[in-house]
Amino acid sequence: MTAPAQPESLLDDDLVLIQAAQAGDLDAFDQIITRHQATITAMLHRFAANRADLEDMVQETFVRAWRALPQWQPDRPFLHWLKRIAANIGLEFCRKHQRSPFSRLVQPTNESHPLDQIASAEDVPTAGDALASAQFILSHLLPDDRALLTLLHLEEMPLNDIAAHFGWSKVNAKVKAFRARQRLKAILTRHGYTLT
Amino acid sequence: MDTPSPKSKSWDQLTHHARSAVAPTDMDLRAAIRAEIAASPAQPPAASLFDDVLSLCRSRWLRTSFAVLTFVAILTCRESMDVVNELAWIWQLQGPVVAGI
Repeated sequence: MTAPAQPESLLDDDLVLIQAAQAGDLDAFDQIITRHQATITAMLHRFAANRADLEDMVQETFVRAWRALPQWQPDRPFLHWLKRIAANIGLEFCRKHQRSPFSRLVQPTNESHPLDQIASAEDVPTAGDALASAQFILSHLLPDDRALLTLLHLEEMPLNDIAAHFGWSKVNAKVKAFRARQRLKAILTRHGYTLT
Repeated sequence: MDTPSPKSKSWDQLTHHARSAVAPTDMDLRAAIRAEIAASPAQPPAASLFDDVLSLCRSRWLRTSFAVLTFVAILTCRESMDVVNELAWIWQLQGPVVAGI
């Protein structure tokens, strides 16, 4: 679920608050947090459903935003700038919580495979369980692939935005996305999933 | 070897279902964020490369290293002064030799 577009008046208010925060006003920054926390939390929830990890990531996003606030220019949309910080926090999370490379080498046997425990979409009782299953499958990919596909498939972020957030060219992002999907497909087909 | 399960599972369906998962809305991190900002004030960014070099030159470890290097260089020169003298002498000679004496 992506965040709704902000109305014009909210953007104007944002500018006033950001300029105050740039001058060192922490109360103004508190209001910025109140205004944007839900959007950033929803985005980072795609990376980690675990509450402790999620809180850490949201907190780190706003702390980094505070530190980088002097460099923010009014000609750049603030929320987009904030999402860029959050996307990079998500990427760092994927790198920090990378599975052992050996987990990708496990071949399925007739008995079992870790991914076999993942149920199909119809079988998972809640959306939270479906998210946990999707995150578990994605966690078997390389960190960059995982972050890219998390934003692409779970956040439904346009590839151009992902490229901008991670500092990749559009062509590079397309190539990376293609390769990441191929690797995901290899994992999924082994376990009876279809990827269209 | 691929061993697809008998029941086909759709990744698109799974992600579609996963997207409707609701993120927690009861988090209030303002106090924690304030505390972290207060605990580690950000370093002001260096204005230029010159500022970086200047701040590096002010560092004690670099000054000490330069002093040690200079001392070692002087000691080395003192010990090899004979060689330097000889080189200087040869250099002095070189002029007349080239001139055809």
